[in-house]
Amino acid sequence: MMAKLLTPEVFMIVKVVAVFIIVLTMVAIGTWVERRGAAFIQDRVGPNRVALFGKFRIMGLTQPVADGIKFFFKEDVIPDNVDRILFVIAPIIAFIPATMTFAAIPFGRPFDVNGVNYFLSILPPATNIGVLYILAIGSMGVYGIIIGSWASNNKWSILGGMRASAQVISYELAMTMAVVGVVLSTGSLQLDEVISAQTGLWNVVPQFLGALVFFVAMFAETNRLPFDLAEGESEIIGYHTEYGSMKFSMFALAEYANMITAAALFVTLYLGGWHFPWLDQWIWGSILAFLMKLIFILWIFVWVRWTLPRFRYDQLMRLGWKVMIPLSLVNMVVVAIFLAYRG
Amino acid sequence: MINIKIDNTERSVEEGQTILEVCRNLDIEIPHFCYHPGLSIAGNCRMCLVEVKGMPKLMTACSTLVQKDMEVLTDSDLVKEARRGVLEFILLDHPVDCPICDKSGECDLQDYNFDYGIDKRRSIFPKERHKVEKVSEKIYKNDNRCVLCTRCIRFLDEVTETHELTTVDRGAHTHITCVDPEGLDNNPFASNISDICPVGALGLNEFRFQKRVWLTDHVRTICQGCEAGCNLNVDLHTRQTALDPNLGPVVRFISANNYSMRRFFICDEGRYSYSNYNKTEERLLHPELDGETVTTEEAGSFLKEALSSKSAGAVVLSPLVSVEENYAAILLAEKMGYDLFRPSPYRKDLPEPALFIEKVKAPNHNMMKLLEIPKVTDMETSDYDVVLVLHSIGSIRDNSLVKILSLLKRAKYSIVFEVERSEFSENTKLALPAPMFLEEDGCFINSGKRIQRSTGGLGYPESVQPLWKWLFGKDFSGPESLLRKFSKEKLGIELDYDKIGQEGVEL
Amino acid sequence: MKKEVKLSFWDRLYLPAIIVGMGITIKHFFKTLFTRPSNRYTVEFPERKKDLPEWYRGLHRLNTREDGSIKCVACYCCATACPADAIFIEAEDIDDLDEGYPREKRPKQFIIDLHRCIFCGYCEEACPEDAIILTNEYEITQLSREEGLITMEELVKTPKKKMD
Repeated sequence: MMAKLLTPEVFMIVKVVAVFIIVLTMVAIGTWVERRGAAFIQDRVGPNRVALFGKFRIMGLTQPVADGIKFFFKEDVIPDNVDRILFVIAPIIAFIPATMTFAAIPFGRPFDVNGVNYFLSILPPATNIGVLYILAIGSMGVYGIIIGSWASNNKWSILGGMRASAQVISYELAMTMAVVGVVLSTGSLQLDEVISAQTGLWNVVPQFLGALVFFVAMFAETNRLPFDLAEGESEIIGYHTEYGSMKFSMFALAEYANMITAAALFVTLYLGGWHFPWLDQWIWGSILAFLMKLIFILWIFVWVRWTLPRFRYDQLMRLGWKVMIPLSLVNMVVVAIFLAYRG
Repeated sequence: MINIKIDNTERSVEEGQTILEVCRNLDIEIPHFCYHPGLSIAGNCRMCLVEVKGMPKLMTACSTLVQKDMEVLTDSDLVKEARRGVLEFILLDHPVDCPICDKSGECDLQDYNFDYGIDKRRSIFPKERHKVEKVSEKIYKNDNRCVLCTRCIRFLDEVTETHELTTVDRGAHTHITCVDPEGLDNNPFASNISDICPVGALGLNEFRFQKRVWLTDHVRTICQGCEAGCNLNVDLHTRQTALDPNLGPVVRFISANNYSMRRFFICDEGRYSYSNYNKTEERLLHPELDGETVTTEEAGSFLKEALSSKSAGAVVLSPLVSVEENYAAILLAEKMGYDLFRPSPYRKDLPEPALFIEKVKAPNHNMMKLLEIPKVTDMETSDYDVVLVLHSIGSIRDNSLVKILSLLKRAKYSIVFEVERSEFSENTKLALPAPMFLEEDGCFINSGKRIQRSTGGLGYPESVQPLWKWLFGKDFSGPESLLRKFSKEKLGIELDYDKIGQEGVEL
Repeated sequence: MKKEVKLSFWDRLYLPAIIVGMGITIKHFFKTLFTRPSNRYTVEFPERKKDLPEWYRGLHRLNTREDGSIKCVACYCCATACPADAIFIEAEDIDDLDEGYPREKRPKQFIIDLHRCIFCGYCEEACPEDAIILTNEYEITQLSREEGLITMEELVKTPKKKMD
C-alpha cells in the first residue's frame, strides 16, 4: 500500500513538508534549550512555569509556544521615520535563506524502491554545485540584517548592521577556504560524494585544522556569542532595536534556523553526515545518526554561548584576518601537498 | 553700671537686676521653672541655683540681685550637681509621658533634663497617679506632670487678681487645685496659664492632642484683635502631607514675650481668634470684575484705565491692614491727587479686668491717627469717579461702612482690595485679592505708638498680590522698601525690619 | 599603571582556556540538572516560601495589649521619623487612668500609606511603646491607591512575626 503511493513526486512533497516542520520545531525547541541550558549553567531554573492546559508543566517545553502566541498578538509597531518597505521585508530576507540552505543537505542514506532511487535531501544530492549553493545562499542571510538595520533609521541599528556585514565578510573568507580543503580531498562539490568520501574516516580527523576554522567561522557567521557583536545587547542593542512583535521574532527564528543549517553543514562536511558505525545500515538509523550529530553541535552552540564572553570588535577582526584566514590557507596547502604527494 | 564676673568673664551690667535677668540679657542660659518675667519671684523650684563666690551655699539666680564685684559661676561642677539633684527630685514623681504630652517639644523640663539631667531613676517606689481633670471649659490639668512652680497661681493672683487656683496638701502630696471653676471659665485671660506652665500640667482643651508642636512652623506676629499690639507666636502647619486633613494652616496663637513693652500675656479673645485665618470658603483668591473671576492681566488693565481717567478720586485706607499696604495707597493718592480717608474702627467694651486689651478693634488705627487722615464720615463731597477701598479680616463701624458703600456705588471706577468677600466686594466693580496678615510681612503701630513687625510665614497664593505690586509693580523690591520710604518721609526717622526687630520701636 | 602579562603560547591559543571554561559550565549544568528542585538555589515562590530573617521589614503591625487595646498612644513619633510621610495619625482622648498605667491618648485614626512607605523601619525605631513593628509579611499588593491606605483595624490583624 505504502509502496504503491511512493512515487518520487509524493516523496518530494513529504520531504519538503517534513524538513520544514522539523527545522521550525527545532528552532522552537532550540530557544527552549538555550534558555533552560543557560539557566542550569548559571545554577538557575529557567522558564518552567508555562503549563499545558494550566496543569502540565512538562519542564516548560510549552514556553516557546507561549512566546510565539505572544509575538503574534503583540502590537506591530512601525516607527515613523523608517523606510517602510525595507523595514517590513528585512526580517523575511533574513529568514528565507536560512531555511533555503537546508535544502541541499542530505540527512539520511539514499535507498532504492522498485528500482527507483530515493534520496533524503530536497535538492538532488548529485547537484554538482552543492557546496557552492550552500555558501552562496547561506551568506545572503546577512542582507536581511543589513537592510533591517539601515531601514530602521537608528544609529544603534546601523552600527549593528555595519558590524554584521564586516564580520560576515571577514569570516566568510576563512570559512570558504576551510571548505576548499574538503572539496580538494573529495574532488567534488557534490555533498553526497563528500559524505561517501567520509565512510571510513570523518573529515574532522585528517582536516582537523580546517574543521576548527570552519567551526569558529560558523559562530561568527551565525552571529552567535562570542561573536554576537551585531546584537551586542549590552552596548548597542543591535540591528533589531526598532523591531517588535512578529518581525523581531522573525529575526530570532532566522538566527536559530541559521544555527541549524550551519550545524548541519558542519556535520555533512566534517562529521561524516549520516554516517555512524553500525547505525547507518538502516535508513532510520542514518537519519537518527544525522540528527544526533546535529543536536550535539547545536548544544555546543548553546554551551559556548554561556561559557565565553563577547569578543571586542578589534579582537574579532584580528582573529578573523590574522588567525583564521592564514590557518585556513595552511590547511588548504597541507591538504593540497598531501594529495599531490599521494598522487 | 557695675562690673561683675560671670563664668570668669568681666561683664558690665546694670544695677538692680537679678543674676538671672543679667544672664538672660547676655544669652547665658540658667535653667528655671518658677521664675517668669511677668510675675513675682518665688524661688521655689531651686532649678536656677548658681555658685556665688563668698557665699556659703548655692544661690537662686532668680532672686539674687547683682552686686558690685560679684563673681558668679553658672556652669561649675557644683552647679551641675545641684541641677542634677533638683531634676532627679522633680522626676521622682513625674510620669515622663512625653510621647503623649502636648507640651513635649517646647517643655522646659524636657529640655533641661536632656541638657542637665540624669537618665536613670534610682527610686523604686511607685509614682503617685492623678486623673486628668478639665478644670474649666478652656483648660485641663494633669497633676502628674506638675512641678509645683506656682507660676499659674501667681499669674491669677497678681496679674488678673482673680485667685482661682491654689495649692493644697503638703509635702510630696502637694498639688494644684481649682477653687473657683466658674471664675476660671469667665476669666478672659485664663488661657495664659497654659503658656506659662513650664511643663504639660496645664493645657488648652482646644489644642489637646491636636498637633505635635515640633511638626509646626513658628512665626512671630502681632495680634490683629485690637490696637494693643500684643506679640504672638503663631504655630503654622505648613508641612502638609498627602494624608493630612485640612488642619490649619494656623494651628494656634500663643503669647510672645516682649521685654521692652514688659508684656508677656495675651487675652483669650486674641488667642482664640486664630480660627478666623483658617476660613477658606470666603477667601477672595482671584481678581473679580463685576462679580466675574478675571485674570491678573484683565484686572491690571482695568486698574490702569481707572488711574488714567484723570478724574477726582478717593482712597479709603484701612486700620486693619499693615503700614506698608496703607502707605502704598497713600503713595498712589499723592501721585494722582486723590483724597485720603479712613473709616472709624469697630469698638467694643473692655472686659473686667482690662489688661493688655484695648477698645479699638483694629491693629493699625494709630497709623491713621498719626498721619491725621480725615474720617470718611467727615467727607464733604462724594463726587468721586475713582474709589479705592482697603479692607481686611475684621470689621469697621456701621456709619463708615454705609458711607464707603455709597461711595463705591456712585463711583465710575470702584476698586476694593481685600482678603475675604464682604459687602465691599459685592458692591464694587473690581475686587482685588489681598494677602492676609500671616501671608505678608507688615508693620503695625499700636496704641503705645510702638511700631512692631509681623512676619508673614505662610506666603500668599499665586493669584494674590499685595497692593504695592498691583499699583507699582517692580518699583519696590518688597514690603521692607515701602517701610523704609514710609519711615523716612512720614516719620522722619530711618527704620528697617532689622531695626524694628522682634520687639518693635517706640515712635 | 600598565600591567604587562606575558602570555604563553598556550594562553595565546585560547583553546585550552576555552575547554577548561566549558568544563566548568557543563559541570554546573549537570549539577543543577541532577539537583532536586527543592534543593536548588531558586525558591519557586508561590508554592514555596523563603524563610525570612527576623530583621526582615515587611508589612506593619500594630501590637495590642493583653486586654486587646492598641498599644499605640498616638504620640506621632513614627509619623515624625517617617522619611516618606507615609503615616497619618489622628489622636483621641480617653479617660482611663485606673489600671496603673496612664492612658490618656489613643489613635482615632492610624493610616499607613503603603504606596508611600519605603519600609525603612524608622517608625519601629521611633516607637516608645513598641506598638508598631514591621513583620515578615511581604505579600502585600493592592489594586488601587485607596486600598494601599491601611487603617488601624487592618494593621492590628497583620500576623505577628515568627519568632523561634
